[in-house]
This record gives sequence, structure tokens and C-alpha cells, in this order.
Amino acid sequence: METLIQLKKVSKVYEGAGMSGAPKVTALRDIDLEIARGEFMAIAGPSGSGKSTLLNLIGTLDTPTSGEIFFEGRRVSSLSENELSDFRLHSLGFVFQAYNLIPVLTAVENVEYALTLQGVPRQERRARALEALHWVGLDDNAHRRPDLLSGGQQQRVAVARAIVHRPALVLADEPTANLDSKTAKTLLDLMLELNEKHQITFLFSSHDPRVLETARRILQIRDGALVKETAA
Amino acid sequence: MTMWRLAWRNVWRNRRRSSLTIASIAFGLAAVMIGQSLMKTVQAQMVEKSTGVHTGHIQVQALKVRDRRVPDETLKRPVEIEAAMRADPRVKAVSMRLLYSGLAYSAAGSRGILVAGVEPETEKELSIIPGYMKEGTYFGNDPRALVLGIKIARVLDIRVGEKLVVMAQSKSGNMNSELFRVSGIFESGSEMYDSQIAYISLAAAQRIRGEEGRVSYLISRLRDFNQVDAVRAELDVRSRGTGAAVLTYKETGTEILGIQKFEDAVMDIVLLVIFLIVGLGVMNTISMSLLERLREFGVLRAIGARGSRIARMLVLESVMMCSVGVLFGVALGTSLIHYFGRVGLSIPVGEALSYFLPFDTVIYLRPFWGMHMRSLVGIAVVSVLAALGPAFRAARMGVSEALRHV
Repeated sequence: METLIQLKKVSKVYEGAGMSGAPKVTALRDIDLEIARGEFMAIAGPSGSGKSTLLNLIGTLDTPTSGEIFFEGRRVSSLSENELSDFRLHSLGFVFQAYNLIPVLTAVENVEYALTLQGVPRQERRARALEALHWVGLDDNAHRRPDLLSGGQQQRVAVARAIVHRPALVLADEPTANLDSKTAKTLLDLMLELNEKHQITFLFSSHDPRVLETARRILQIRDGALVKETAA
Repeated sequence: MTMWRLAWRNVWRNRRRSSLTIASIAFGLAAVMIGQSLMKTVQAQMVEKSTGVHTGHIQVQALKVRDRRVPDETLKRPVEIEAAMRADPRVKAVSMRLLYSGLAYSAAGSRGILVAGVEPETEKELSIIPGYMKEGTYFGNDPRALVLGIKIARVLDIRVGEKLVVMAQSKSGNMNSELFRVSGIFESGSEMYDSQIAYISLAAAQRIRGEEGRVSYLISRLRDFNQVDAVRAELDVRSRGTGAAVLTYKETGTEILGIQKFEDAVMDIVLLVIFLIVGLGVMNTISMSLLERLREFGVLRAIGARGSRIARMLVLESVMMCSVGVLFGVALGTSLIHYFGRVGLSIPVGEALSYFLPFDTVIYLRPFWGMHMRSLVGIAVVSVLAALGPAFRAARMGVSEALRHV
């Protein structure tokens, strides 16, 4: 399978705050990892093990202290801020634990925001955003603002926002943490369907057993190091 | 969803805070507009009254005069300059005056006065004193007519039609006097004019002083006083070598200019304080907004928005608040200026100034759009500058750090 992401000896150390004398914290140490296009995988581990840090580094939301990250063979760990923004805009989608929708925008406006940034013409981006909402089963709620939607509906809008521009990779940080079992299962089934239908790679960070049951490959992380890998 | 629509909705996320900021901009601008209008209306009236009773727009005096207000030297009628002025279509009226100190006495008593010898017919075209007549007429056909202020008339217990003697020292040192009949009494409201000045004909004034053919100054009024420097420049050329100096009202009424400069400086300070208040208000609003939406900006950055786009959006929000504030401010300021332009505004400064000049204590405001526009632009610039700091902070923040913000 084609390699989508490659991490070589990636470490992340958080410097202690100078005056307070707080010690350095090594969040990740010497991570080597390859993720193939079309995978549906999860990074599992207890709180504070480094799951979110790893996801942030792969999502270029943070930079590694050492090591290199490649995306489709291109080294992204040394891109400038603007290059990283453009990279995320075209290649990545994000689903956050707390949904993080823009409260002043309706569901469809939230979804089409990335397309606005890409400069997609108005009619086309509206059509694509409505199509994405259709995929996640929210046709009837397209013009509602987030505060009028349930948690599950908001997370589905977030998924639509993450996939509307057809990214190569969707990163989902604890996407089911705030959802009840039924809603969580529906959402996971939806993401699995999108993975299978549209070949979108999904990478979760989670310790939710429901996520881990659905994932095809699971990486266990503990104290900043990958300790185990299991495949479904 | 364009950045404009998003910014507009963001402005109204916290309605109360944005409304307060907009109100501070609106009230600040309205206050500045009213202040400017009040100041400029007072200044315009000062110039109008000062040039109307005393300085005219342009005077021609003897070159060696030390006191430009009441010249201590006379000059021979400057015929050539006078002819040039009369021929100039920009000049509305030209007249001559001879001023000196004297004594007026009636059967009831005496009082020191400023004798002003004038040419009544041309004087009517450039002086506002004829408009303040309380009793009688401003001169007439009688060559021995005298017009005086109401407070002198009261002191001397004299009425229209009664006789009065004017005495003064001639240039040769003799005391000369002539008998006049009061043709009119004026009440300008100015303590100084009503209690000090008596007008007689120029010929009579020259006889008493023993200075036939000589005047203190030639005075003129222009159709548009903004032309004063251009007219003066041309007359300057003609006056060379004649022993005469051509002066504008800015030089003969220096105290007016001093008051204007003082008022301008006060207004500048007020403007600065208001700009500062508006700037801090906008900065506070944008900073609070940034703090509250830090996580949201992190999300936008994660999706792919560049830092500069976040900064532009914050500046745009500030511009929008400022625009709404300015619109309300201009509407409020214009309405109040029009209202006080109709009903008038009684101000204490009018009473204070009326000691020196006839001055209307009720001011009728009018807009001065040139100045108002400058303030408007100033407030807009301050609003944008105030938003730049928070906007740059937003542009530079780390994405993961912003996403962790609760």
C-alpha cells in the first residue's frame, strides 16, 4: 500500500516555564511510524501518554523537537507557517472532541468554510457542502446554527467539515468522548463508510473501546513511546 | 461565507459589549463635532464682529505706528491705494477713520472717550454699529451729528437731539473743542464700545485734532474675507515707498487671533483625549473578543486559515464597529448641530467676550464639514490602529496552544 505519512525518530519535548522552574516534559520520544493511504486506525493509550501530541504533530498543529515527518513523501516538519496552513487546507481534515464548530455560522456555512479558504466559487462550495451534509445525514439541519443541534449532530457537522474538501487524511481527536453509545456507534459507522467509499484515511486518538473495536489497526502508546501494534 | 459576513456576525456575538463600544465611538464623534462647531462658530463670530466694528478686513496705516489697534501716528490719505481698493471688485467698501482720545461733556457731567472720526455713508457699508442703533439715527444730514454708546449717554445724562461738547488736544498741543448734536445712541452689548466710543464726522474730527487731510487708517471690507491675503499681497506692492503699511485683520486684531489659537489648542487636547478613549475602548473590545475566541481561532487555523486572515478579520470587525459608530456619531452630531443652529445655544463665553466686542451670547451652531471629516478619519484610523495589536497577537499564536485554550 502507498505510504501516506512517515515519521522518523520524532520527539517532542515541552520546555519548563523559565521562572517557575518547572522541569522539561518529554511527551514523545523517537517515534517511527508509517501510515498507508486508506487506513482506518487509532492511537490508543491512557491520558497523558502522548496520543494528542502525536496527532498534533501529524496534523502539523505543532512542530517536533527533533525528527522528521513526511506526507506523501514531502517533508512537512520544516514548512513555514503559511505553507503549513495551505498544507492543512488541502490535505487534512480535523474532528475535535468538543466539535469546535463556529457558533455564528450555520451547519452548511461551517462545512463550506474550508472551501471558502480554497477560493471555491460560491455556488460550487454550497453544493459540495450540502452534499457532505447529505453524507452525514444532516440534510434537514443544514441551515441551523450549532446551538440548535444535538451533540451527535454537531459532531456529524464536524465530520462533514473535515471531509468536504476531500482531504487525504482526517485526524480525529477523541471524537466520541462527548457522545452517548448509540450516537458514537452511528458516527463511527459513518466514518468507516466514508473511509471505504471515498478512500479517506482516518486516524483517531482515543481510549474509547468503541473506537478501538472499529479501528482496523491500533497503535498503543505509553509514556511517549509506541509500545504495541495490533491489527484487526 | 465571505470574511465580511463572518466579521459582521462576530461583531454582534456580544451585543452589549459591541453596542457600548459603538456608543463610545458615536458619542465621542458627536461630542467632537459639536465642540468643533461651537468653537468655529464662536471664532467666525469673533472675526465677523471684530472686523465689523473695528478692524475691517484690511487696513492701511502709517508704517511707523506702534499701537496697531489705536494708531498713534496718522497718515496722509493714501489716494493711490484707496483708488486701487475701490477699483477692485473683491472689495465691498472702503472708508477712512481718525481715532484719538478726548473728553465729552454735557450739562450733567464729563467723560473720557475714544473719538472716532468716520465717513458716515461709506461706514454704513462696512460697520455693524449702524445695526445696533437703540435711539435716533446713525448720522443724518447734519455735519455736527454725533453717535455715541448708551453707557456714555447714561453717564452724561444725554438724549437724542441734545447737545454735547467734544474736546481733545490738537497735534500742536492746544485744547480744541466743538459742539455736536446727538443724532443716535447705539447699544452693542459690549461694555467697551458702549461706554467708550463716540462717532463724529471725519472732517470734524480732523478739525478738532488740527490734522486736516490726515487719517489714522484707511479701512476696507471684502466681499469674501477668505480673499484677504490675496488682496493684501497686491496692495502691498502698491504701498511700497508710500510710508503706509497694508495690514489684515489678523495683524490689527491680534487678540482675536490669540483667542483662536488658544481655542484651537484646547480643541486639539480634547480631540486627543477622545481619540484615546475611543482607541482604548476598541482595543479592549477586540482583546476581549480575541481571548474569548482563542480556541475558535485555533480551529480556523487548523482548518487552513492563515494567521494573516485571522488578523484581517479582527481588524475588519474593528472597522465595522467603527463604521457603525461613525454613522451614528455623524447622525447624532449633525442633528444636534442643526437643532442648536435653529434654537441657538446660550454660552457663558459669549458674555465674557462681549466685554471687548459686541458679541451675541446665543450661538447658532453650523457644521464645519472639513474639520468634522478630519475627526471622522482620525477616529477611523485610531480604531484600526487599536485593533492592530490584538490582531497581530492572534496572527502569531500557536495553533495547538490556541486549541488547548478553554
